[in-house]
Amino acid sequence: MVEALRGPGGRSILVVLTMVAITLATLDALGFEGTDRARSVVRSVVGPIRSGGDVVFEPLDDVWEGVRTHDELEQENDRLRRQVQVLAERAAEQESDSAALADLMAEVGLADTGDIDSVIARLTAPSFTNLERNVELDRGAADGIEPGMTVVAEGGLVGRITEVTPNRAIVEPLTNVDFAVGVRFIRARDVVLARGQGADSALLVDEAIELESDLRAGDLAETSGLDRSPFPPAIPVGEVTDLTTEDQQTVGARIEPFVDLDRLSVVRVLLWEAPA
Amino acid sequence: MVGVRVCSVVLLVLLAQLVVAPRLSVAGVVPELLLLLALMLGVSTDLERASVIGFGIGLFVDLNLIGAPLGLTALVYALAAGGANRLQQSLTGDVVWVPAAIAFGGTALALGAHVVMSELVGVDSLGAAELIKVVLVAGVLNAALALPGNRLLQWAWGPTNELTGAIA
Repeated sequence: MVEALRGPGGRSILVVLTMVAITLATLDALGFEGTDRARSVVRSVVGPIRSGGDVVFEPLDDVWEGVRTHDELEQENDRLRRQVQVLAERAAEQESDSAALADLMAEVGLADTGDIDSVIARLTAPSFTNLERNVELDRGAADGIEPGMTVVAEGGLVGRITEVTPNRAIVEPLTNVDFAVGVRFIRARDVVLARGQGADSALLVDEAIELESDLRAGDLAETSGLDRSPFPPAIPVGEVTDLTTEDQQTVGARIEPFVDLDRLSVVRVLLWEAPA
Repeated sequence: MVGVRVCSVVLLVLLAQLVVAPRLSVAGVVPELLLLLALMLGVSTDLERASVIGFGIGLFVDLNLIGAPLGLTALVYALAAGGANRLQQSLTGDVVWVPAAIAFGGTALALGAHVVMSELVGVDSLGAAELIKVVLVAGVLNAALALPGNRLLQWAWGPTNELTGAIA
């Protein structure tokens, strides 16, 4: 049995496979068209398979979600009804303020997110491997989506588009380790860079907080939209949860995203490109 | 006939990983069925075949990943299959828990190696805390599925393991 498992030329096959892997990685790094084409072909096959799985399992997913989140949904429903009532009362009061703000933003060249064209997209099933935490949408280039576009949902920023095929788009969530977004703390007015720290983790701010900053836990953060930022301004990002202080000065903060990526089903892709 | 059975098992596991596994996540961690398949190939057949098939499975995963260099997962899976084979060879006697132990340890080492190698080539992967969670949960899930997975592969290779001549 042991001899049968050994097989002829065991070590040499591993050496060959290692060299093949290095060759593939090198070609990929050099932008060899064949590797991109291979990826495109495989994804065009995998996409419909996963969509078919979504269709088959959707009733089961709905039942499970309904059982799992029933109480939470009831409470959130009540909370949102009360919030809608309050917001409706404020809307009339703030109508004139909104007009003045729109004039001011136009004057300084900032886009109003509400005026940006967008595409509604649904999330397909989550990534099938733990090695990647990106999210896939059921819309793609055919709907005008391009890499780099911002993705938002009820609550705020979700992430940005990283890759697009004709009918699919991949979203890099804002919690990804290599994700960075310029944010402004609405009350304290600091403009800093927030970085993703992994799924289920808050964003980290560990530089550029001003010495006399009045930042506090509970402060709200939105996209800054400054310095050719790839994101439009004033998109809610999250809430400050932890502060790091040294010698009574704030040197770091954690921002808990508003959007719960695990419970997303529908998002909006903003058809907006950052100014050159 | 052996080829048809092995291909069927590979396709079945592939389908399960694409469609079923994301819905069976525990604490946000998806079962790594394809990695388990590579490891159990190492346990059930010779090093050459296990490494080559493991490489092919890993290459399929690579072609679906964004950002990771092509060939990285293929290499990790091939080495995982090879390592599982070497470990199986070094153990004497027919111990029931060996596939589960190899599945747990192999999953942990393979995922850790993938993250480290990604970082070495400048691709950010899982954070440290997330990696620990993924390794533990995926390792336990794979260990639980190792025995039925190994039995499935032994059926695929045949009652007398037609390729290696070993009696299952």
